[in-house]
Amino acid sequence: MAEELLRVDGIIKRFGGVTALDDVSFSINKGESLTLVGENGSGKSTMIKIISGVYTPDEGDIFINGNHYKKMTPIDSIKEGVQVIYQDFSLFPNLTVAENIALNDLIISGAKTVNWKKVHDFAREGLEKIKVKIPLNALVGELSTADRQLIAISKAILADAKLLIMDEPTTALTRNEVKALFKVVKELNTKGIASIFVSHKLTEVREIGERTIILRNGRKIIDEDAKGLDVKTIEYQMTGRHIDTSSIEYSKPKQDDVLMKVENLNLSHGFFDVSFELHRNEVLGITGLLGSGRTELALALFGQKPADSGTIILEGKEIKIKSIFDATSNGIGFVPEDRIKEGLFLPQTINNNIAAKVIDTLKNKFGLLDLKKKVSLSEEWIKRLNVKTPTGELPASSLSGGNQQRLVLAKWLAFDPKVLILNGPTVGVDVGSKADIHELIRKLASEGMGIILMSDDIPELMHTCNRILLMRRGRIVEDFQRETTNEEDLNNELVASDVEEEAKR
Amino acid sequence: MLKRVLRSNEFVVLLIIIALSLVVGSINPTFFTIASLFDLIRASNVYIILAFALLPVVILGGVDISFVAISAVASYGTHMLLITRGYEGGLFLYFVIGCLIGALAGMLNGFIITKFDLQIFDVSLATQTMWYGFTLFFIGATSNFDMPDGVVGYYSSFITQVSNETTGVTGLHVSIIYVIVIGIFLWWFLKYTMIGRGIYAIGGDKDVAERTGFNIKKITMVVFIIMGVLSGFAGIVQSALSRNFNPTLFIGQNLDVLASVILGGAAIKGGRGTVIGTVLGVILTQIIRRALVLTHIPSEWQKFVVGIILIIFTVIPALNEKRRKNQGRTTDLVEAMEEA
Amino acid sequence: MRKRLLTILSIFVIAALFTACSPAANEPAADEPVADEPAADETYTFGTVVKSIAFNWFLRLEEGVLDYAEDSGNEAFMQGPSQADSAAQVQIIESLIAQGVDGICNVPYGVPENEPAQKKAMEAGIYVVTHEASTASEGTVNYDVEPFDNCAYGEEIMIELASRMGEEGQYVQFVGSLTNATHNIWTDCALAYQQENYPNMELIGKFESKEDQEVAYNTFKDILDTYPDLKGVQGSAAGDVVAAGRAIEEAGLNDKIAVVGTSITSYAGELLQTGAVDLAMGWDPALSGYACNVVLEMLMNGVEIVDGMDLGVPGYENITLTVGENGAPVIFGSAWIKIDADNMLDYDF
Repeated sequence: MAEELLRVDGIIKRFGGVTALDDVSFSINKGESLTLVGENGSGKSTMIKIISGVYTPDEGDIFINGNHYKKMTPIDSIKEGVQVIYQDFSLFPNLTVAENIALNDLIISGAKTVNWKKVHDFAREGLEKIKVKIPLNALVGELSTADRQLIAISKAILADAKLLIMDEPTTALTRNEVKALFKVVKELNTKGIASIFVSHKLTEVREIGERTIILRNGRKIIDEDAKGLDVKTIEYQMTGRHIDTSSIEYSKPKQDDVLMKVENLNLSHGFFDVSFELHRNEVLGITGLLGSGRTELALALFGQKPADSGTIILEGKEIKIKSIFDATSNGIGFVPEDRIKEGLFLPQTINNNIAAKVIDTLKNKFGLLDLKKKVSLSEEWIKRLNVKTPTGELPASSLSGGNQQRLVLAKWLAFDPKVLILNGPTVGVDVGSKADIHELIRKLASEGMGIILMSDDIPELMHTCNRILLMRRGRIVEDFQRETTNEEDLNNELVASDVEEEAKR
Repeated sequence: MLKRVLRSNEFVVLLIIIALSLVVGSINPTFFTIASLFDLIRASNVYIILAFALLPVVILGGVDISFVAISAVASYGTHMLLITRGYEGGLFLYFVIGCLIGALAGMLNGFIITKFDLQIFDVSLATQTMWYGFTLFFIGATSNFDMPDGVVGYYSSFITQVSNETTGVTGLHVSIIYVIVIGIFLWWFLKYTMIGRGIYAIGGDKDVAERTGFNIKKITMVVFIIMGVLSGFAGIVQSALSRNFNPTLFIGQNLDVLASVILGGAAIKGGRGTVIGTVLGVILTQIIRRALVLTHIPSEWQKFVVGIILIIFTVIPALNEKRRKNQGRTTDLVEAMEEA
Repeated sequence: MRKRLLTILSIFVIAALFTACSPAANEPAADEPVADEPAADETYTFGTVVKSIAFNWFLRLEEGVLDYAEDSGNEAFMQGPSQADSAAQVQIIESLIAQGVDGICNVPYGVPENEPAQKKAMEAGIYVVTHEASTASEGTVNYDVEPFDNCAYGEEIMIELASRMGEEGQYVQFVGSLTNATHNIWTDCALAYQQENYPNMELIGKFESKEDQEVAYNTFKDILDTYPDLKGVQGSAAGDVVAAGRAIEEAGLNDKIAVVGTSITSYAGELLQTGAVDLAMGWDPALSGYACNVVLEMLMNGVEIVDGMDLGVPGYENITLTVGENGAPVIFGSAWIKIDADNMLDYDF
């Protein structure tokens, strides 16, 4: 039997009348890898904050390294070797990799001056411990998310972490980067460092976790070896309902009814010679690794980063897309990946957000905004998309992640686009909402809209798309029909491009 | 490494300085004389020290406009204190007292900012007004031309001198030594002390800095003490060079100094800025000022030209950012392009 | 942004100049001398009120007031708040009304803020003459007295400069800042006058000293380098001629380049003596104070004030009577003073 590192026993935490955690107990051994799964509001984050000493539980006990805590401060937690890596990584964008890694140690040691040689040695050692190579003199702000994550991990390791907790670590990473991250963490596990992953992505849950704990509504539902669990079971246990993805009805797009045609589109540093057709009623998936050019293509079609050359034909007429305005006035809608930054006015009401794109059509005969019309339009979309809110007059920021994503969709659907481009529409959305969004996408297509879905989530593509284009190094390299392919093939192809890239390096 | 240097802001500023010098010199060859160089250095020294005073504040992520008023109260206050007591010695005592007054005035800024968690700019707007007012009302309202014997010859204390047929004797003024000593100290302080690194860290991300364990209040306080001390010092040097102590010293020049610091590559959002860049930034603004005279361009143009250059300098980093984004993390795409 | 900042900044600085200190620390006591001495048949009592008694400038003005008292035999005195503040100034005016003075000479800090009090005084039968307030509104003042018209002053500077340059050659102008209205009137009128009357003179340019001697000095050295044939300098800020004079002295060009401009003895005295600065011009607040009280006396005696009349005060021998921009009658003298090495000790302020 492995040595126990941490045990929580009968943890209860209430916020006002809400019970966030209801009698949760579990333990983790040295070197063990644990995955904590649950929908938004299931109590995952609360649990992490209790382990890291940020919250004090109302009832229950915490044992770390055999020490018993009723109340634990963040300092206690750190001293016991608990290191949490939050989503912002707590790094300084304007400082070098070396300095970021070494700063904690310098501060704790109470140093007054900086010995740069030692800083570099220290940082090099830290990166070597997790076996990654990142230039020590690079500024952190210029690095990719994945690199920043690795730096955060190496910082935690150097702080003598015995338990590494990572909050949604894979959200912003490509599959390739996720793999590298898993490798690093597994390596650490063999050295006796335990890890807890908090995650949404079910395929990953199975990949990394030796053991998976599922929380639902503050209760522990499952605590067992992840290898025995399949995605369906996990989904069911998280949501408490069955999500049926097999009986998807596809309205077969008519092959001769071309809605949009793209020919020889180019963007320097982005993509090259891209041509494809989008049919009415079709959901067209475009996938590829980060850096394959798929995001750039999406942005070009929406005019945010206009293409350098090539033609775009919509309903038989050539259109020029040089700006976002060009795109919207031609009936092209876009749901961005970063919905918070690019898609919503968070402090504004839900109603205002939905009406934002169509404000011109809501004028009354005096040319003033017809408030009644605005509210009824908004209410219609709140209902259709099942946005969970008591009223449309609440600010958009009051919604959960999944509901915010629906709101972005509502905003664009109210505008009734001919072509809707979705870029990673379910990133950071929990399983239940995800299934709803997929269903909605298919429904919209069957109503006549043409949809382009950019994603690297293979199951998502398989669940929603009629056709999937694979991009690699800025070019479309393959065209899969959904009927004639399966998840595994697609996955292999995607990863194959990875391997190829790596070979070239 | 070399690539980094070539792409750095300092290098760009240096290139502009060289290009501008070549243009000015080809129109007016007197620009290339030693005398002209000495004049340039003399005109730059005080502003470099003032820019040094402001630099840590900018790195910290703030804009202060009160440092000029601190210069005034420290230099004029020190002078009136000493001259009315019949002091006839040299500048050393001036520096000691002036820096002390500057430190106290800087501490007041720091105290108000940290105590009430206020914006640096807002507080400095108030303290600038206060210090000029204080000086005018409590100390005196007119320039004072009485110089102690030990200060009289200061304006022509040259390390080495040259004579020029039109403008007479000029030389390398001793104030260059202060610039070098202060510059080296500030460079060391910013690069090799934990407080110095803390300034960059806070400028980069204040919340993370707090979480990491930097003592933000203490660091802010140190930044403002440095600002006060160097402002007071610069005020005394400028007054001694002018041969008069002026209660409204440097009035209205704070934004020019800020412009030099920004030209030197410091980010107005904080987190970025270097000693050498700041020196180059001041020299560039001084060359621009002289260039307009030397090339017969009316001085109304000076503000316009400095404005244009500032716009360029605000745009360049944004363009770089955009280029970096355009390239995405797709460095290998560039290769693909080249293959194609 | 920059410009807005500058504007805000300058407003604050100006405000600071006058308001930064503790309020009303030194209220004028109502028991000043003179007050309770009932006006004897032929003697009048005139109170002069200034922005603040903290400035040397107004202490010099007081000398003029006291000179007037001595010369005329009337009671004349000066009062002012310890710091420049319109409200405190209004209180002083009101106490003068209560004392029943015959006339008030007011140098208002804020012109509009002082107008109601001036009007109140006029309604109480007290004559009111102002100084440095040519923008006063009609009906709030009997007359405003100014030493000179700014444009005429600029022309006078040019006359002096031209005569020292032999009416030919290149010259430069300095202003404290390109946005200082008064300095720019001086230099622009001087330029216009030169173009009209001295065709052989040539303006090289107008330079900014930023009211900082060291800035003016460095700029002027570059000017010397660039324009070796330079023959004249016109200064506007008090330090401008000092800075130019220093550079000229260092270059040994005292006799070659004429330096004329606004300044005062305490600034330019040393260089006036060596000849590096040829002439400092300005105005003497003592004369302003004196003239202000003379006008009050004329009003009391029912003398009509007309254009071209002689007030019997140096510089006010041939006054110009005009109407100010807001309707107040304005008396302009030509009371500029010219300070050179010979008379500089007469103007030691």
